[in-house]
Amino acid sequence: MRVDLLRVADLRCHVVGELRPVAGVTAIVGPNGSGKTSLLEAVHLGINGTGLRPTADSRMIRDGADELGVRIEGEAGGAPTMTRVRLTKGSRTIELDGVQVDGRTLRERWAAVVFIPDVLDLVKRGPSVRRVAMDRAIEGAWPRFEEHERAYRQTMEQRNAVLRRVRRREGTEDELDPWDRQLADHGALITEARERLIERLAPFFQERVELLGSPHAGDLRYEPSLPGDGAALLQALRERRREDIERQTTGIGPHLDDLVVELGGRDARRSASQGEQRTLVLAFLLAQAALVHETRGETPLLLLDDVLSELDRDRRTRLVELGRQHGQVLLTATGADGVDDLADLVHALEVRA
Amino acid sequence: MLPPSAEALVRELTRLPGVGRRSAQRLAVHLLRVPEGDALQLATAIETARARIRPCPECYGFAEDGLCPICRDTRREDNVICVVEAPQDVDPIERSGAFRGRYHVLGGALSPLDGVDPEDLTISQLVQRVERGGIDEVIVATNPTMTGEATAAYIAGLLREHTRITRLASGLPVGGDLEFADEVTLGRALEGRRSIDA
Ligand SMILES: [Zn+2]
Repeated sequence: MRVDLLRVADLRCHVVGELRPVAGVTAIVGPNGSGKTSLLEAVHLGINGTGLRPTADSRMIRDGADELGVRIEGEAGGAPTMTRVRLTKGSRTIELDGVQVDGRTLRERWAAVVFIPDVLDLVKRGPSVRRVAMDRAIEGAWPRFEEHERAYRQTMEQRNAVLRRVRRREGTEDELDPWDRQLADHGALITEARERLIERLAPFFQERVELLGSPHAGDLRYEPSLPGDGAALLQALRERRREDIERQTTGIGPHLDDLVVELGGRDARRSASQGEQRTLVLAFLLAQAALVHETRGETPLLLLDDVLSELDRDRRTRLVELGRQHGQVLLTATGADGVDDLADLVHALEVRA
Repeated sequence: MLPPSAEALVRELTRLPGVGRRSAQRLAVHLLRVPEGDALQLATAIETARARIRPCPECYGFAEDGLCPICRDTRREDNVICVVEAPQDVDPIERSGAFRGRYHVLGGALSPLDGVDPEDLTISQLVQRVERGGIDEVIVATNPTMTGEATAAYIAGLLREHTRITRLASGLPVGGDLEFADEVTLGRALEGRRSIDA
């Protein structure tokens, strides 16, 4: 897939803006505060329907404006594609080739893999960051899977409500039965999807850790809260019922899974340096992009915000080279870290403050 | 800007399910334009229905003067009960012509998160009906949603020892059909579906 044109109106500091990326690597260059990242955000909004961060998307609307608009023209699914997204304080309208659609339909057509400095937490932070990363990767490769993630969350909230009710002695334990069963079904699907994800992602990851110049081998290992199928999870839920009622929360299931990132055969959580963490995260994202290509036959757009500043010259060249081989890349860079030394690999576009 | 009494009408209409402000305005303007008698017929119909419709003491569907027409119909089969969430769910099943038994209307589906618990539905009344005897089958036709499935499973748990429980066939979890199926789900679906009393 390829974005040929981005137009924005009333997005953060941009009253109007336009960007024409090339098919390979496009660097958006400008000083801090010039709105480089907002342009990546706009591209993401246009092809994914959401901003880059979990904060409210309506905060992207320029101060003083009521509505922001994004228009993307390019090619996706082997055909010319045009999307428009309009956002007000209370509404979001997505159009795909002139037809109004929901976010999932948009994501089934387009795909993006994103680096923002926040994702550097992947290796060192708590497991929830890695669960989110696994789920984003699953959604990228199998967009329809988000239904199951939502169903699992909702079913667990229902079960937790019954746990509280039983604890208050307003209900009886048998009221948990139907929720246990559904939770086990959805949970087993998620465990299975994550197993399958890591199984297919790991070889790509290993290869990319090496291509990014790491002297140590990298690997990914899925650590499920409870391995096994729905029957195993159902049994476990029933066995720990008493404890769950006491604590009023569900204490087993994929919402407690983890992913172990390894470097040189050791858990990178404990041993990896800052630079190594950066390499591992980038390898994870590049592996994700390769998997999307494998499952959907499409090369997702790589959106890389402020990725170059901390990399040495060798890694920078390797990353840009890998990105270029992969497909279309949009990255931001300040004047200071520059892209001069990559001039023959990168098409630089300047943003003025 | 509408005069206060017209504005009050719009406000009331907006409270109806699925009616936004714009359609409420259109409806209000319509009601103010048609002959007065036509508009008041609607008001009278609402008043009469509200005054006369009561839950059927047998199935908890809508009834007027005691039992509802279906419970009153002596030609129907007494040994099968079809359990639905809402009164309006009876209609499509009736129109299919495939069912000749009795109904039981639950008045919703279990959703503890929203404060809908077993005692808020007519579940104990259903159990009493079955315990009275003569019921060979209970077909649970709650919606194939998360809350509908949970309600079906809960009812099955209560009635399993008294009678045969069946569930309208629906394949995949979460309101899905094959169109929703992805690689993982489809694999699962092919392994075989879970029966209600597994
Ligand atoms: Zn009746």
